[in-house]
Amino acid sequence: PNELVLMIFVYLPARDLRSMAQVSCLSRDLAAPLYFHSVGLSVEQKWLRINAQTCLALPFARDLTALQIFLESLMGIQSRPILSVLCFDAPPGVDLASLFQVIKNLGCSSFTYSSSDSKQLRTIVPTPVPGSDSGAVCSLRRLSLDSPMFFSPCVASLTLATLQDCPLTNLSLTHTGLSGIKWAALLRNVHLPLLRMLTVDVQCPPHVLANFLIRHQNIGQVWI
Amino acid sequence: MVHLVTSDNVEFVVEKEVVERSVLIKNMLEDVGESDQSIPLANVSSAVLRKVIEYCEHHRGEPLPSGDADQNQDETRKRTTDISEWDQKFITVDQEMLFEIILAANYLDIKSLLDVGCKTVANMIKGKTPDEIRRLFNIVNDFTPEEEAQIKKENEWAEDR
Repeated sequence: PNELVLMIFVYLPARDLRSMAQVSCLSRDLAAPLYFHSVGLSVEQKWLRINAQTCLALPFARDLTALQIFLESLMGIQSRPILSVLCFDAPPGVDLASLFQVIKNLGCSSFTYSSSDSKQLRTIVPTPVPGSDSGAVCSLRRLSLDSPMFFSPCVASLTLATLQDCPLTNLSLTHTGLSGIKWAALLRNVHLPLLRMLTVDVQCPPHVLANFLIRHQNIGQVWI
Repeated sequence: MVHLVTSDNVEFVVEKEVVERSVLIKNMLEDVGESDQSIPLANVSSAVLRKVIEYCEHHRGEPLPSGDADQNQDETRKRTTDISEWDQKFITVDQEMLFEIILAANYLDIKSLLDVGCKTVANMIKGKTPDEIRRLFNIVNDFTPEEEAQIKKENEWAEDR
């Protein structure tokens, strides 16, 4: 078992850990982090060893994970906050929830996600928010979600929370895969006093949309 | 006395004080209470259990490492691979038996024996080249030619310095 191999490795000095990391793939995966640690390098292991040939979805999953690590690394060091993040497509199983959370934590004002043809996607160029409130719970102003994945069980609660605590001015929810009843349940629980522009898909029942518009009189544009 | 039955169906009768060096068995006896029923050890063969009992008999009466103390000592303990003379003699067995003892010590939760086993393997690895380690433990080199070339390049770089 790997845990027993690791128990043996902790008794090895750096020189021998380096040798172990060159013996086989498994011994490298186990010994390399200990070797880095022993020479004073702190490397947080955030990767998984997977055979890329047997996993076609992997390159994209890896890219998305890489994006997440990149975004996390920016947290707190960038002099200007990231204003906009655009994502295209992701296979099921990608940890969208944590990526979404990172984007929220970054304090960017616009997030666009699309799983449909990129030609249909309008690139949103966000305008810098004067006196950007990085200390706020969420500074997302423009949210465009064009994928049913944000309403899948593992991400839905985060999506709802985002809709409830972000001061959104533009909201676009398309290809949601939501039924009329779910649309009603979603919009009933959302109150966005600053909302000016709303886009929904055709599954959103007219009376549900009408009720939402009555509660949100600042909305000047509606797209279906 | 405690009755133990190994995977190859051999029964051992061992003093409670001796067998309680195994935290697994100690907890089992505390939970179930003493009984004449034998404890089955499905993961341990008679040859290995004989060795384990020999170790436990020699170390009987010594204090068992507590969880907290072990955590605190972890750093310093793991830097030294010194093994006492008796333990060294005890663990001088063939490689298969050595790994069997490590597995049994892990399963039976005998921390000090597990340490002796791990230190012994670590001492076997020390000072050897990757190729010697592969030969020693019969490990297949499953690196791709590209990875192999990369390792070679890195080693040249390291040796130049």
